[in-house]
Amino acid sequence: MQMIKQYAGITRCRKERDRGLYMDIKNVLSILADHCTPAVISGVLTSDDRVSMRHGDYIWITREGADLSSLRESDLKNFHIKDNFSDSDKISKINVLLYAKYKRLGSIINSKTQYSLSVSRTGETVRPYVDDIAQIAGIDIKCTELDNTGKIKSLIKRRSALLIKDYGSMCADISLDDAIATAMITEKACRIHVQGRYLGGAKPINIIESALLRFIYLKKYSKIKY
Amino acid sequence: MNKNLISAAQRNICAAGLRLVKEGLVARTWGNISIRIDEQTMAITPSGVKYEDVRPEHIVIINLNDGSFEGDVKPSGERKLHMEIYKKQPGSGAIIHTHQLNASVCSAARKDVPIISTADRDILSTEIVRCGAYGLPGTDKLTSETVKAVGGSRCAIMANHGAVCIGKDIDEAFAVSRVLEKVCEEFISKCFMDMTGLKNADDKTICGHYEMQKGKR
Repeated sequence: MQMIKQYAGITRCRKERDRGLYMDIKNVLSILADHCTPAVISGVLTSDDRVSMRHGDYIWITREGADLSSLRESDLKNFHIKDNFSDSDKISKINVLLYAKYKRLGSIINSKTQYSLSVSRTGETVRPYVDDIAQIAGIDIKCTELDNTGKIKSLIKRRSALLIKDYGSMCADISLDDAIATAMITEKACRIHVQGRYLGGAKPINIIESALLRFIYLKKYSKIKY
Repeated sequence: MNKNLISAAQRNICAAGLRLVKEGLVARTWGNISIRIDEQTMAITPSGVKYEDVRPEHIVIINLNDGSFEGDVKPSGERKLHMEIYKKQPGSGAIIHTHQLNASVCSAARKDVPIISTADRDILSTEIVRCGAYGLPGTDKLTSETVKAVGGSRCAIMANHGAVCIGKDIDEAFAVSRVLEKVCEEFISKCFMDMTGLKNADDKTICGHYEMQKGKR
């Protein structure tokens, strides 16, 4: 919500969906730097993670290989949501498809933090091992192939995070701030999934309670309709 | 009630909230902090407000006997847990509920954690950190199971949730949470090394072993 207010303040757009329509690359860069640099320093994101933001019908995404802790204007690509997509970059493509499909999404992060990447390589599903995973990520964190755009779109419908085979996590939320929090929780979930094996196995919260936790969280904090 | 004591508790909780985030024990609105003001009263963080945004006037003053509070700000949903611990441990002056990483791993495995070092046992006032059974956040079950797990010690792990750390003041509660995190990390490392026979348990080694087990390396 703070981000939305910030966008509204900068753009003077009253409608949330129109936010950022008039935002130039310097403003985008400033918002990304304010959020991504501390996230990289604290280890929540890695410097080569990919981050995108929606501004109305425009999408800004960091280029592959861009250093998140020292972003420059040349590190950003810009797309219009309704344009025919001709870029060969698969991450950009799926980001644009998700923004086009779900109006609620304001930011998407593709992260290769250690445990997320590790679990994505095995293709395992991560269960809600602690309350905040169920609340923020969803009732589970499933893994799918990057080329399977249909499944990615379907999974993001009711979840905020999933794993992309061999590519780490994909976290999609209403703002950059929320997407970073989701990335943090997804990494924690994957850490519990891996380390829990050596403690006799982590026990997930049951499906009904997980769904209840997610429902209450969305009603109470996110104020968005799924 | 002494207004100076209340103001001091409210300011201390705001500062402690920022410290909680800075030390990586919680993020955003997760976890909660309370300080006992006197035998009848405690101050606690509000529900659903980021620690960076919490101001002294947001800190809610609660009657320990009946849980009543004044004002429009809603207190943390875990206030009953704090109230019960203060009642059971008259010497306690501050409680923090964290979602710290290593304790969360142990909480998901629902494991009691043995403490090896005598110094750590002294700080945590126990030889084994108990893990309380799971209850949904804010429920009586979560409160009763966690209070049972705490017993006379300074901390407990909350199954599938996080940890609760108790001190005679806020500094001591933070010290307890740091020691708890260290103890949980040592426990995870020991379990990993015992199971695999490896001599190292850093993140890279653990991920490497996990992937190898799954046939990915």
